Amino acid sequence: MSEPFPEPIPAMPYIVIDDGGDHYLAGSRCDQCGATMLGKRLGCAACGDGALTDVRLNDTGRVRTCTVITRSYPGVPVPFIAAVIAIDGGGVVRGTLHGPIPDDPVAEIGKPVRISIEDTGQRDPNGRAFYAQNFRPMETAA
Amino acid sequence: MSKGLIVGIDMIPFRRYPDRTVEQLGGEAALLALADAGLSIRDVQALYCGCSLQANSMVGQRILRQIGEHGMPVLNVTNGCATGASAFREAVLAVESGRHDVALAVGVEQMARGLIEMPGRPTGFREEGAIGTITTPSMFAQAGLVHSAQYGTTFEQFAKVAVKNHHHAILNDKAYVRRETPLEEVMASDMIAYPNTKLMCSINIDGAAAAVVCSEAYARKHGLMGRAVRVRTAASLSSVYTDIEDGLTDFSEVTRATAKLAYESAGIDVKDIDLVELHDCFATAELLHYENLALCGLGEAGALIDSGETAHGGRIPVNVSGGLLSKGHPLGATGIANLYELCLHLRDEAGARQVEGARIGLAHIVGGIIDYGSACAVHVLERA
Ligand SMILES: [Zn+2]
Repeated sequence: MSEPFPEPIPAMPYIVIDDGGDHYLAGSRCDQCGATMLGKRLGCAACGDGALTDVRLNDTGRVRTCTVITRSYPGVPVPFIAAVIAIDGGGVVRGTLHGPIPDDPVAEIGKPVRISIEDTGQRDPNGRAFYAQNFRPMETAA
Repeated sequence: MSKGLIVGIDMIPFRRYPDRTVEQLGGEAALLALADAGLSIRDVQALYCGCSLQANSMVGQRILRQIGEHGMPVLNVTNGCATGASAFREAVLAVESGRHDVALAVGVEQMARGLIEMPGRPTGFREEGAIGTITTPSMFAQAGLVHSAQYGTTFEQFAKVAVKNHHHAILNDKAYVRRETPLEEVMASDMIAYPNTKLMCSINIDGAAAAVVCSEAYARKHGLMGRAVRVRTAASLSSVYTDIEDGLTDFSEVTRATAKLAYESAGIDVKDIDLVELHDCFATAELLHYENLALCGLGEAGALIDSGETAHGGRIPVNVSGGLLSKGHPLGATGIANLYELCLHLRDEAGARQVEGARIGLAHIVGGIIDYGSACAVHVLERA
């Protein structure tokens, strides 16, 4: 019998699911060159030299690039905004930007977003929910 | 170290061949290249076979089963979109090292229609839509829009690449798409991932191309210099780290590094190049590669396409074959097909689309898979 509320699981290896609901993106920072990488590595991808420290990545960032996807694999609802986010304080992650579909995606580049780890709606064979990052536009201070 | 020579090269027209096998397509291209050289498979001492989607099923050996098995080393090569170019480079290195006098490179692919399926997550989680995108047109769309944000490059400028390359293909009877596509039609065609419309995407298709590479001593001894084109450099690099790669494979930085290596090792300047076949898998890519290959300065690609200088007859014609946008893009075959186009011009055999007086040509390929890495090859060929 499956549990009534099966525990969520990270959809990607760099996602940390916290018992208390405080989920986040995990990264590694190089003590030599300062590069911040998503998830764990055996060594630094940037310099190949430094030692890595586990870091918790921030939950805010800015759109580095994006596009509106109007054609995708069968069964994937379109349109949606695919975006690459430069995380405040270091690190880069891709994901879906939830918000009105822009006529000109270029205008979205540079805008601030909030990153939250949420239920994707997808389930594994045991009924456990895959959790992943979602991006939402942040109100900019006037 | 003496440079390798291409003494035979050919491609089959990229089409859909549902009733033929990958070894039949690759074998046909191999026989065409051998016939072009005036050699037999018995003269070949090593085979490098590029095939991306069937890389685990000994495609090189299957080709030899079709055309002759006399016992030679076979290396099956896979390297994303750079698969064929990587196989070719191995053949060049094998000859230049003195290990073999004659090596054969074959690139071949059979592909499904539509968007290329990417390797999935072992957990069964489907990334597409849930965490952005992993499709190839959208990767290059996002790369193009970085350029737009930085330099103001417009949808119209990207679309002009498709207009130009389809126009070039009118003169290439081996191209798959051979009709004029006016700017309005390109821009109004189905949007796939902004700004790449359907007419700004290369088609997944079947194809094969092959090249016979030999040493200069062998070519002279066997009277093959009449067909010879010199490989001035065979440069390849992969996965140059950049700080965007956790969100998007970076095709630009690896191309810049490979191009720099190619120019330095060939001892040439970009001004010496008479024609370029570059990796226009999507229209946005071509503009980025103008700058990555130093055909113009940073931020000048939009102005360069506007100027018409990359069209046939211009200062630096790019993709006079029609490019991948017109020929189609059978992953494993594409890299060698680009070299075939250069050889036509360097041998004065390109017919109506001949770039007059061409002496040096550059072929570029770059591929990659999101979250995995990139692979790039730049070859410089010279009239021998
Ligand atoms: Zn480092």
